[in-house]
Amino acid sequence: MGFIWYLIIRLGGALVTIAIGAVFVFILMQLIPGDPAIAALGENATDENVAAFRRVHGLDQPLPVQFWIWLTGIVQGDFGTSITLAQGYPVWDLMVQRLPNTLFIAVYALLIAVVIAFFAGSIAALRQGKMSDTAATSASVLGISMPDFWLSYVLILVFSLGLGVLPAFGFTSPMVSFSGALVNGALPAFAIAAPMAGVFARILRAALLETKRRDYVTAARSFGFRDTFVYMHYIFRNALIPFVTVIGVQVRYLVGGTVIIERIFGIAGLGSMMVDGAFGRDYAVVQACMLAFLVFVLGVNLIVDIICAFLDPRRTH
Amino acid sequence: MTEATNGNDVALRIRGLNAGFRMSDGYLPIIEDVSLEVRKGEVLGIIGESGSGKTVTGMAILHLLPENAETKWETFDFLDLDVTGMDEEAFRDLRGNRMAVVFQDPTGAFNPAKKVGWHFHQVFERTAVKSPDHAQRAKGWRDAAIDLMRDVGIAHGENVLGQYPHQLSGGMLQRALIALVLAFEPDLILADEPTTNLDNIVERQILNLFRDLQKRLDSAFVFITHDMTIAAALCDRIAVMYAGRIVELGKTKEIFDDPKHPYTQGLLATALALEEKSGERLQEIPGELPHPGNLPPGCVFAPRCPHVFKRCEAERPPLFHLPGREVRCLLYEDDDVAGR
Repeated sequence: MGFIWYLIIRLGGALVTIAIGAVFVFILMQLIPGDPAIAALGENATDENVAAFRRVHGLDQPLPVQFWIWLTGIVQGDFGTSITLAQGYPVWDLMVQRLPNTLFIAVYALLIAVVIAFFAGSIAALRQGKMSDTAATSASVLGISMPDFWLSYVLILVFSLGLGVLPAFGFTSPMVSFSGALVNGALPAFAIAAPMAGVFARILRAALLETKRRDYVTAARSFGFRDTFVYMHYIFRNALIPFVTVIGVQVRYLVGGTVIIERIFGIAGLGSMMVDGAFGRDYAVVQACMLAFLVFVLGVNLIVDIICAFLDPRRTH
Repeated sequence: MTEATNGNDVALRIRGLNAGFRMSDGYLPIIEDVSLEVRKGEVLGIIGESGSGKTVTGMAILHLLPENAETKWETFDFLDLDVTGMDEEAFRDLRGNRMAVVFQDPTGAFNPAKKVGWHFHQVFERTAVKSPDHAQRAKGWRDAAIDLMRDVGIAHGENVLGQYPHQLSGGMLQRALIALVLAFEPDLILADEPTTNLDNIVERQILNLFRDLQKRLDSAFVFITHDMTIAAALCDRIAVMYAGRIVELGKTKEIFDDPKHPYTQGLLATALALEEKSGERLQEIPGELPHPGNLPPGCVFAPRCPHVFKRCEAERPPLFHLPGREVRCLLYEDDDVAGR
């Protein structure tokens, strides 16, 4: 009962956020200097041609009208038409081609980060103050301090040019070949995952150490429970709550990561499409991509919150 | 001491316990030369103000001190076992099934992510190794838990099992924790200020529960408290601790009738003044407890002692054995019957 209400409130909140986000996305695009007509027709286009282009694409309408047309279109599932990037193509069709790639890389990176953090954070906390703790903690700092674009080139240098085991460029859509996507996506996913893994590992280590000192851990030991049992059901179980919460906060870095990394590795994803669209002043494309990222971040946060609600009975009971 | 050593009814015997913590700026000794004995069916009270080392003593007995703690024992006998140098895994097996703790803060003693029923289930599973009967009981742990909760005054145990710890009151959780401890049927029960965090009415109920349990069970009890009236009501013998040392140990009634150590005398005078609620200014022991890293060179109580004399400031007094009493004070050097 309490949980259903919690879910309804959270979903409502997410919808409001998306609506406000849509307004900002639209205004932001108008603030960027440049004219889509010039971008599409070139510097030497005649005034008549420009005016005709603007009329065809509704750019001569007042801004509130343009916004209204765009918004009502989205509600009906129509994200508009690309005007410069892929002239005449519905934006939705472009997104459908590219969304799986970006989602795949993002989830791949998230999983890598969580798995690395799980081991590094646990080892560091269990062996606090020992060599393995120092090693894991130093590796975390390294991961956090390396810029993802720099790490990308280092990875290409080592694994593609040096060892020749992983491709430096190009990507197979997971819709075509899942295993191909796993292999080809390994380097970009790792480049995005490294800084997140560093942050996650440090958070997990801190949460584990903090939980270890709790009275209920002493109480559990006073019952004579085995160390592994106490670790799994008391320490790790309770440290998981702040750990998962931080994952939700960090997901926004995934978006920034994909935008840059997709360019470097030549992945046909939403991030690279958004960058291309921005250069071409393709309003509908950029707005659609930004909305998609917003929905993605909110979606992951919602999932994280639901997991947290299950992990922490104090939130729902 | 003379009475206790003959039979094998001694549940716990400790001699020369020292404990302290490794800190960033060196070793910090907390308790020194603590020796005590508890017999089956007996309640030993450990009394002292906060910082006197009574909780460290209790946690040291159960090997539950934090990782940076160091402990040293001359003797540590538990039942018929010499556990002085026992390895941690073997000692862990004693915890719960043979010795258990009722903590000061019941809210903090439960896993916040699990229901109360989960705790009972795990504890009953843990007791299954004790005997085939226990193993059988672990299978029907729900009924056994509800029975135990009824024993400690929880009428609707079946509801409590389905609740999370944060949904229950402190008093209810303390009863549930006591029920968990009772499920173990331990030979030694340590209660560390189990009523300090509870309001007055609940405190009285829990104390009555302890008195009731102590009559029913054959377990040895160690009751840690700062409250003299609680100690008087519950304990057969009491050990008074000050600055990490036992300064006086003897039968409760005898200590209350005739306190020997100047600190015990001061403590009793304060407690008495509190009880009578006399309009006069509360009689307090002047000064304060020394910091464990900065103890006076002689007797630790010397700076606050009304009977202090020259030697007190230079010598650490040993424990003197008077008939039926142990006192760590140079005033009683001549009464020592053990001859040191």
